[in-house]
Amino acid sequence: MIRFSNLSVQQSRTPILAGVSGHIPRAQLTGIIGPNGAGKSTLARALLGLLPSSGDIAINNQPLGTFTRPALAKTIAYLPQGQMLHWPLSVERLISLGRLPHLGPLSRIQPSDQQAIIWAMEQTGTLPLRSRCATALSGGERARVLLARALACQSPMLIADEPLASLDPGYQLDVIALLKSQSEQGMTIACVLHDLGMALRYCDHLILLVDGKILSHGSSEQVLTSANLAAAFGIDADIDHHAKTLSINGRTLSEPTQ
Amino acid sequence: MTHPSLPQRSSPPRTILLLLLGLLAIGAAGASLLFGPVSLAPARIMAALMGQGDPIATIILWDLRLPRTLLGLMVGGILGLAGAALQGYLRNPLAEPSVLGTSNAAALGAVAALYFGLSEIHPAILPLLAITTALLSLILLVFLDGKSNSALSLILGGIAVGTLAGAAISLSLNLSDNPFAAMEIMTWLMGSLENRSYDHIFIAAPCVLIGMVLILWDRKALDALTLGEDGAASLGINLARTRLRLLIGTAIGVGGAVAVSGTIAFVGLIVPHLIRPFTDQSPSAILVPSAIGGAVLLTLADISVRIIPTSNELKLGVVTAFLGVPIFLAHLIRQRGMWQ
Repeated sequence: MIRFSNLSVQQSRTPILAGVSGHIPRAQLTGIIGPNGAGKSTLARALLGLLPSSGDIAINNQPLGTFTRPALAKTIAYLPQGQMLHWPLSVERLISLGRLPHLGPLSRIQPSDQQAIIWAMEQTGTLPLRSRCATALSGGERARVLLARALACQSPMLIADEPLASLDPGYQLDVIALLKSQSEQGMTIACVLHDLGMALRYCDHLILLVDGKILSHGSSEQVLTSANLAAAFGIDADIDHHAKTLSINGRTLSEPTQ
Repeated sequence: MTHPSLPQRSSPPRTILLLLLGLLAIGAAGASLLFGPVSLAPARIMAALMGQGDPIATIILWDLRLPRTLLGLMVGGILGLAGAALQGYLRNPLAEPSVLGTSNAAALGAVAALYFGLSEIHPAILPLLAITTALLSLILLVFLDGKSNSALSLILGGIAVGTLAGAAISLSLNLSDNPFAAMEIMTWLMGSLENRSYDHIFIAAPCVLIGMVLILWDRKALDALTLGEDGAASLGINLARTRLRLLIGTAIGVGGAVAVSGTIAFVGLIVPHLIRPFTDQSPSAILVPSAIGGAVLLTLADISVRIIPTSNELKLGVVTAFLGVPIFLAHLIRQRGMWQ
């Protein structure tokens, strides 16, 4: 569980997050949603200690500031936004980077690390790609490979920044279903999402950010209300929590089905 | 369910690569002892090596060719290693040791020693002054760079420092009223291992050694940076410390090398490119092979300046540039697909 209270982040004197408080519950899939520029990625990065922030962050009741970088890396894996890779590594070599927090300064990949790498490739269906060059993959393949890289850490928590961006609907479903099943197996996951339908159908817990503040926080019934969505996105939304459908401005979103 | 164990794809080729490069380095060093302006039969060299040679062969081998060979290996090694590390750190295939401005700054120190005639007092003053200015440039660079972790700000800071030092070198040539001093400065700037003694080795070796250790320290951080700065930090990498170690390592190592050899272009740029296709392409995998490859390339270039018959001995930096460009172009054409 990650708790944050009165968390503020400023960038060149502009407040990006203004005293937000909330938590990412254990072994659940938490969606961080909100309009563009609401501070979603900033919240994700602040929780990982990648940004200077004020306020309190505690991971499993231990203050973030008391973690060393390697200890934090073993606790929370991070899947950054974007797909930029700087060297044309093989898929397997790229995924093995996820084991870095577990390696000593001089040690090499051990059999237990190899197990974790294979496991991550199996989970993401990237085993057949293992000897391909990671920079030559399609966007969907690369997104799954990068997710495998994050899973290979085998950390109890994962923060993913827009893992569904630039994926076609089939891959979006694959990736969110994978995150969901990881959370059901005990992983604490927070992911920044744009797709409200995905948030409605897959997330156990939601944080709705607007203008650097939390507008609503809790289960999807509590957060995805017509009033909240009107205030956050300026849309007229109708949500059926039972059927898990969402209609916006009178049009029902056609949910991709498996 | 049993998992297929990962094939150790990287390991056997890496061992073979290191073995081949090691043999090449030994071969190049041996050739460097054998060839020179004075031709000595291999038997006389061997006898001198064993301590049973005639006095002329002994002096040529131990006082001329051996220090020259050792310096060539050291200078080439640190240039190759620093080039590989900086390309990995900056995630830029065009990076080379001079990108931080250290080479120019070291050259400026040497030029100052020549300009003011300080090198006449004692031959060690020139390299020591060169190392001092290299370290001063590092302090300036760290100051310019501030707390930033971005590759771009480091490149821009390096360009500023390097250009400033380059301008000061030009100024010294411009103002030099003694044509001999100007000539000496020009010659020094072209890079050479001619007439180097054990003094030079004692000055360069500790710098190169410290530089190599500091650069190799962060090889896993270089791999992690494949995922970008946030990605690396989330893998437990302390980016600020990595940057500082790499900066200090490069400044001391390359500064120490340039201090004894003069500026030698292209080795740090091309060697990592030549090595990369034989590795798994990760930044850490090219470090040690690039160090050995740089040592081989520089030693071969230094042999060629000795055996190519010209009225003046060719300068090493001139040869590495001329050798480097065609090798580099041929390589780029072959690898073009990789950087699209």
